[in-house]
Amino acid sequence: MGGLWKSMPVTALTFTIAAITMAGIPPFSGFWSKEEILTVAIHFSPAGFPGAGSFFLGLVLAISGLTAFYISRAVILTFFGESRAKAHDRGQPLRAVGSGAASDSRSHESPFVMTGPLMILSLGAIAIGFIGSKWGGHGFQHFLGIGTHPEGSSAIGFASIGVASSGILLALLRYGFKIQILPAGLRAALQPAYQAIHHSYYVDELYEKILINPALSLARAAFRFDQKAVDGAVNGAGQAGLSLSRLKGWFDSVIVDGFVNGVGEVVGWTGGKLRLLQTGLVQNYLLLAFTSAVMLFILMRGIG
Amino acid sequence: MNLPILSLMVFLPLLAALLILWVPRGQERIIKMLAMLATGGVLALSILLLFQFRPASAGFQWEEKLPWILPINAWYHLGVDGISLPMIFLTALLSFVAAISSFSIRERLKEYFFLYLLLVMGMLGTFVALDLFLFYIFWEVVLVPMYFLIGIWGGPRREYAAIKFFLYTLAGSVLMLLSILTCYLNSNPHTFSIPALVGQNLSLSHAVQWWVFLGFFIAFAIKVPIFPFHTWLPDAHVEAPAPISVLLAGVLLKMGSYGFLRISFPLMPAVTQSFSVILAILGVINIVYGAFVAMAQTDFKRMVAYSSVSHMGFVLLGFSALTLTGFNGALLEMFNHGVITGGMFFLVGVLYDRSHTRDLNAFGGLGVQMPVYAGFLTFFAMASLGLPGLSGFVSEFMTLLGCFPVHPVATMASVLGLVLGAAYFLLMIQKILLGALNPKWTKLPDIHRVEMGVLLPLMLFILWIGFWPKAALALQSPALSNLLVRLGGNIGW
Repeated sequence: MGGLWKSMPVTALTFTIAAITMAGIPPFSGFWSKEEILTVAIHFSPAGFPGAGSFFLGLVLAISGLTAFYISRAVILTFFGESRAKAHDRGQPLRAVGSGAASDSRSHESPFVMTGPLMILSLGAIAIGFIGSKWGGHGFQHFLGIGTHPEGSSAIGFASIGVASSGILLALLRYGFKIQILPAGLRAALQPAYQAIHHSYYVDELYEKILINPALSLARAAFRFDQKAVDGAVNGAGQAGLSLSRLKGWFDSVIVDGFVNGVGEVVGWTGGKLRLLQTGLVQNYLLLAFTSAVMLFILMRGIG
Repeated sequence: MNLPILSLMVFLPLLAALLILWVPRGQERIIKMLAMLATGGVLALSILLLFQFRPASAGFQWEEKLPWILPINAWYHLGVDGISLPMIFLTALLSFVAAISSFSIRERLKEYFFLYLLLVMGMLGTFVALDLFLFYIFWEVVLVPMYFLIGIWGGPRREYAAIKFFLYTLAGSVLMLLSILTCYLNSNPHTFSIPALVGQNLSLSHAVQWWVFLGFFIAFAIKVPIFPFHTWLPDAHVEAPAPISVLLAGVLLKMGSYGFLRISFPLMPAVTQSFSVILAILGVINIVYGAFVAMAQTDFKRMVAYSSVSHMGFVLLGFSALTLTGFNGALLEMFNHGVITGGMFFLVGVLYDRSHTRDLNAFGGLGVQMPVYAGFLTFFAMASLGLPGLSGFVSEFMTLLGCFPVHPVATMASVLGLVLGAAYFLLMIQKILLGALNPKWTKLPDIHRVEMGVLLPLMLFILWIGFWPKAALALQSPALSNLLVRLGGNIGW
């Protein structure tokens, strides 16, 4: 960005107005609310901390100064100065996605749909502050039904303006006229602090490390457990069933059926042996008959 | 009502299935028309039931009681009460919607719709049967068509998934049969009728009561599914074709938890009381473990399958509470999950139809390419993760609210499941819809009107119950209250 006031003047103007009111420059509205807060801050002394009021006042003033500084920085870097847009962004159409019209990446003013509200809002940014102030008859406080507290001293008002102005001036010097404010050595020494702030105090990285990565690892571990252990048990049961059935199949065909076949074999073997008795030779039959008769005679004789 | 509406509803799909057998194979339009007429008729009848149901009257409505196998005292006994009515309507709605979605099946359409209608009959029968014998028959009838539907029209590992589903569920059913027989033999006079058994206050010894409860528990636990009996679910869901996944996740899982409400809890109230802690623990495990595993998935369908495991954990948590809010939340979660996850599986199917991949990492930037689909996907994802204003939030919140006084630690642990649910669904949306458009997908067509027509009724119910849950709660609460009184639970919370 940079130098955008040329291509989007309305946006630049409304943004600048908003920036001025944020910084707290009267008569823009930001000043009045800041003044209220500063006035109350002085009187804020909780029990046990008598000096707290001035501390808070100092704190709020310092922060107002910082606010003025950073919002001025934003305005200067965005809208003023030289354009810092990258070369390929100037005038190259974006890759068309889907069927949308090819859009030009050269910066341009927004349509009235957006600038209209901006203009209305900046009118508010200028004027609304008056409603709560002395000159507006403290209308806002009456609307809320709260009383107005004692008028702040003009010293506070001037202090606020002074702090805001110095913030704006510093920003102008540093970013507008490019004059380095801090000495080089201090800048180098403060680099780690700058880096930490630049990375939002590494909160995102902390979340990533403490919450997100462990959660994802746990998820993957749970999935592995589900597949290997739980489902493994199921498939194992299935396999056990199959193995058992194969075992029983072996038992049935080898042992039980073997027994059945065995009976057949025994019968066959016995028959084969018994068959030998039938030689077909009459001599053998006569021998057998004679031998049997003799044995029977001896036995009968023996009994009788 | 003199007309046997329930029998008509249960057997209309069977009639249509038999008619489909007569239709010549090529006449796909006639087959589809018959299927639409059957499921449409069932839906119309169930809407009629919704309008004519009187929640305040105790007992069962549209009861049909005919003697069937008298020697064993098995009767053909059907009836509806506040617990089965949401389930019947869910089955009718999802069957109709999935039948429209089934028009994308290309091969063997005749066999597909024949089996599909048999499946619808089985599912409806389970929810209206009031006789244990009949219940068991319908429970088993669901298995066979599902086996073929997964095994023939499914994905690459369909045979493995189908037989795993079939054998696993059957093993549980066999244990249930043992429990049924024990109940039968211990009743005096011997009866299979559920209302009669409840009325008899089965006098089983303490140990036997536990075994009977466990028998039923294992069967229902496999169906719900409860960790560690859940591993059939990812495989079956991933391999099944999209309309069948819708029915699997939307209806079959509910058969398990319905069994708890209809059979286990009323028949054995004492054991139910003692089991409350175990159910709470199992519920928490389901919720948190299911959510963690879902987060680790790269397959879109498998992720939604594990999210189903997680959601059913909320049902268990509601059961364990034994409070009216908890039970209401559980039964409402059963209905809501059916509608929401049915829609999610259908959306997965739409994407798979076009891209032939379910790998989450292969997508990216589809929010620009398919904006209407992106809207639907985001809607159903928000519903599933429990965004207030949509129905998922109501049931999950009621479950947690009902369980907190009874099992505070379990409830606290379960809330983690809500966070994780948001995490993995948003992760899924980021991977599919956001980011740079993968050049592979620049030609992907957006969701078309028929597919939107399937999703719109589901969206309607998600919004309706999300903003006006009383519509559903008024129907189911009195029956649950009666059940709780029998269980000695807390109807004041």
